Amino acid sequence: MTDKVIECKNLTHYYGKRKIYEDLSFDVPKGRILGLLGKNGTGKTTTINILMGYLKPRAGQCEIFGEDIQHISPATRARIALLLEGHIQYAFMTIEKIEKYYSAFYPKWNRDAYYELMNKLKVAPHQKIANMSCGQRSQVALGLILAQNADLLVLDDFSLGLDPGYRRLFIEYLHEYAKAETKTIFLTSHIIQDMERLVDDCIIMDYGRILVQQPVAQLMSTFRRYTYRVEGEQPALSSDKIYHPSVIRDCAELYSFENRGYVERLLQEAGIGYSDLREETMNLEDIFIGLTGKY
Amino acid sequence: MNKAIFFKEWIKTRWYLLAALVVFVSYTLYLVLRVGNAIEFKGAAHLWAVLLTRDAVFIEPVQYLPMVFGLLLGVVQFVPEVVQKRLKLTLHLPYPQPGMVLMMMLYGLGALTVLSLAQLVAFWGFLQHYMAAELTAHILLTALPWYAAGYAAYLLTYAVCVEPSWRMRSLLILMGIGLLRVHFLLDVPQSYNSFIGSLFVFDLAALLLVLRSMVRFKEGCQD
Amino acid sequence: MKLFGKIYFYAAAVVLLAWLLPWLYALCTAEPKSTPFTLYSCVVDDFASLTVDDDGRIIYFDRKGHHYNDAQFDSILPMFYYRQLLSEGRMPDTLRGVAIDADKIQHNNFNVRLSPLDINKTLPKLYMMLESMPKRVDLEEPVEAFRSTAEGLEFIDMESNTLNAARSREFTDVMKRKGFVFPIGRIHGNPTTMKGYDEGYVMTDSHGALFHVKQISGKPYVRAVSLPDSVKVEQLMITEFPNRRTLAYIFTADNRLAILDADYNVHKTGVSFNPYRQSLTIVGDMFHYTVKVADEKEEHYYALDASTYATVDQMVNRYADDSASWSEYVFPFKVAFTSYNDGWVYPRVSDFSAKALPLGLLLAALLFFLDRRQGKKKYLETLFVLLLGIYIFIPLVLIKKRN
Repeated sequence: MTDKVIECKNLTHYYGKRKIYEDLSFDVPKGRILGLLGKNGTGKTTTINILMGYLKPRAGQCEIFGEDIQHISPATRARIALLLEGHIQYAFMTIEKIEKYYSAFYPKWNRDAYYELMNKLKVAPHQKIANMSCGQRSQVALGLILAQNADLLVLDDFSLGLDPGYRRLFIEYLHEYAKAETKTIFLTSHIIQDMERLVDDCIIMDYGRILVQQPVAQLMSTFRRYTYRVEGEQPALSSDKIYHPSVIRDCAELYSFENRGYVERLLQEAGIGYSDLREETMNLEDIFIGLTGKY
Repeated sequence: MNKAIFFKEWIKTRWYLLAALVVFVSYTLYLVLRVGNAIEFKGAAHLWAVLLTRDAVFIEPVQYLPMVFGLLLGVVQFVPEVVQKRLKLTLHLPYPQPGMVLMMMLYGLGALTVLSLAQLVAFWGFLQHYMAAELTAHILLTALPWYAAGYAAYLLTYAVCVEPSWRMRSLLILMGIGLLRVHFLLDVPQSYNSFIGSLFVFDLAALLLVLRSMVRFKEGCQD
Repeated sequence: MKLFGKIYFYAAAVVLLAWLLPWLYALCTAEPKSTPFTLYSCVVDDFASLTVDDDGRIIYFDRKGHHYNDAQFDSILPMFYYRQLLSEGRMPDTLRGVAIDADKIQHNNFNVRLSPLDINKTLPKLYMMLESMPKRVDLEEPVEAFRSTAEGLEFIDMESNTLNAARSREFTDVMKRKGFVFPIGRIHGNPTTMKGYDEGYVMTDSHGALFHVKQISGKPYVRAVSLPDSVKVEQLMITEFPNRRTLAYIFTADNRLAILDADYNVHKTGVSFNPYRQSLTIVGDMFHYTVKVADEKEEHYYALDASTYATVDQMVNRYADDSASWSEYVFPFKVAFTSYNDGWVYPRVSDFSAKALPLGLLLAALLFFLDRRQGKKKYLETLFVLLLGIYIFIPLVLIKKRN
């Protein structure tokens, strides 16, 4: 029990009549990094809002550090660093002032961690955050998060709007930080690139449902892409164990957790004349596309 | 932590407060000079006669000043908090959430009180020199509902800003217009004497609306 | 916390709607209310009136139903229309056996109007003191004002805003010698120079005894007035009319008009008048006073004999009862912050109407079924709608979650 930092049971939420998801349950054990991945509008930010107590779910319970998320005590909030979507910060403050402000609230405040990161930015300490580039703002937000020395980091779509360099920087910093200090991270993202460097477990969401919920390593070793050649019109495939079969001219592809034998049997049963069947593992981004489709 | 909360409110409001200070001082000087001129040219006795026989208190031009000040203070303080939902950052800080809302409010109420009191004291200091206590009281008592309107305007603006749903927000705006109107119903001096106490309490109790909207913000109410 | 906020929200909404909805209703349905202009005629010994009919024509008539044209109307009210009569050469030399001329009429004519608003307001308790016998003909602007304390009067020089101890002592001593017990109870004066002469103030002391206080040649003039047992002063009004026959009107504790004449005799009249709720209009001439006492229900006319103050005649006009108004069926009560009768702002709840209960019941039922369709049963809300009707129904419906 004690090593579960986040514990959610049967979360269900609707906006009006539109279902976001039903019966979502997940745990985040101490020291793990969970990524909630999904396209835009699948309910990632909704989940963060629910977790941080900014949205009352239609049903279900969640606990963070053993406290009901609707009533997290200030002491527990001090252990949770929150990054809002778009690296929102108090844009009317300067680098110096925002550090001064935040440091007053956090007992374990690590001023050096913040300024170490700030020194890499080519901005003056008196510069207003509102006047910075998106990448620079993300570094300020990251610096503030790292300096909080929190036990749990909750990051909402941190890679949004970042240049590849800043994204990589952000990920490396986080990874090093999390592993060195056994921090727990709950993050969401709709950009999957580079994410396998960071995330231990993932939940992949689609509109109104959860597609996959498992460790990334397991996902990457079991989820396959099958490609094969076909000639002429072929009957459609239907099985709940394959994802997004498609044919472009004479090249066909499909995705599945099942092994080669299963796929061959499936193709034969469907009466599809195929040749040159290939099986391959993929990186996380391709897996994501395989699961969620290209559209 | 409280110092840090005030620090942030100060950063948001300092330029506005400076501008407001200039406006308050100008208004005060203008009215003091106006009354001073009247005394110079027509004599103090004439002013006494006007106060005793007509529904005039000389400082009428100031009547909407506290209300406008309170309203804009609310805007300056809380629009930056709700734009991009920064309030989520503020409420996530390890500080009791209603306490955070109230501390930010305390800052604004403090600013309102300081400016209002300073102006009233300045009027009093000037007027008591030329007029009997009854007349000074006559003028200042007449002005009290105007200053109470400042508090109402501030708290209602706060509630409107924090309120997450547009439907409730529109209702709060309508309610605010009605409540503010109650402060300006009659141009008869001292007409609010028996009501101003309860009116002021009712104005301050509008903080309940702010807390309610904060809870609604937390619950993510959409309509 | 949320509950208190909710209570505040609905309470404020109910108060504001109970204030603004009836106000809007009245604004939309208001019709001009005009009553005939009425005076007592010393010629026909009856109340004569003029009114404007629906076509905009002026109609002249008396209580007995006689109709007049405008020339006839002028001549039955010669004291009021004397200038018109004079210009037409129709002015009689004598009336009721008394020789009359324009100067005499003008000297005796006066009219005065007192509304509850004149009394129901808060004024600084400071009183400017005029000189009743100025060296020049015209009255001079006052230079001093006084206040009343438990010890006596305090005179303040207005220009320098300083106490004048000598004057305070002088007035206080004379008043105390005349039996005045401080502080002042009721007081009335009209400290303006826009009048023919000055009579200072009429006032009561803390025991209710009546005094006349003015300043003559810089010295205090104080006169105690003996009041009949039947006259207890509630309010006072100094008259200062050109003919100097009266000094003040006394509005008594039993709601009567009494007249203090210039010789300090008190005449209790038959006029029933409550200065806090009713307005008083008096048009006086050599022969009669036409006294009108009006409130929201009726106008009561009295004709008083100008020399004896005895009631010669009286007449009551009740306003048409507009109780058939729809508003009673819609609004269970009304809230107003101001009133035509006073200069104060505070909430006043009035016009409780049981006739609005059926609408409340209807709205409550409507809301109850709406809620039940959503699978909710809100008994408390239903009860509130039953009692507060439309005032709480509107905000409840506006806030109701759309589903």
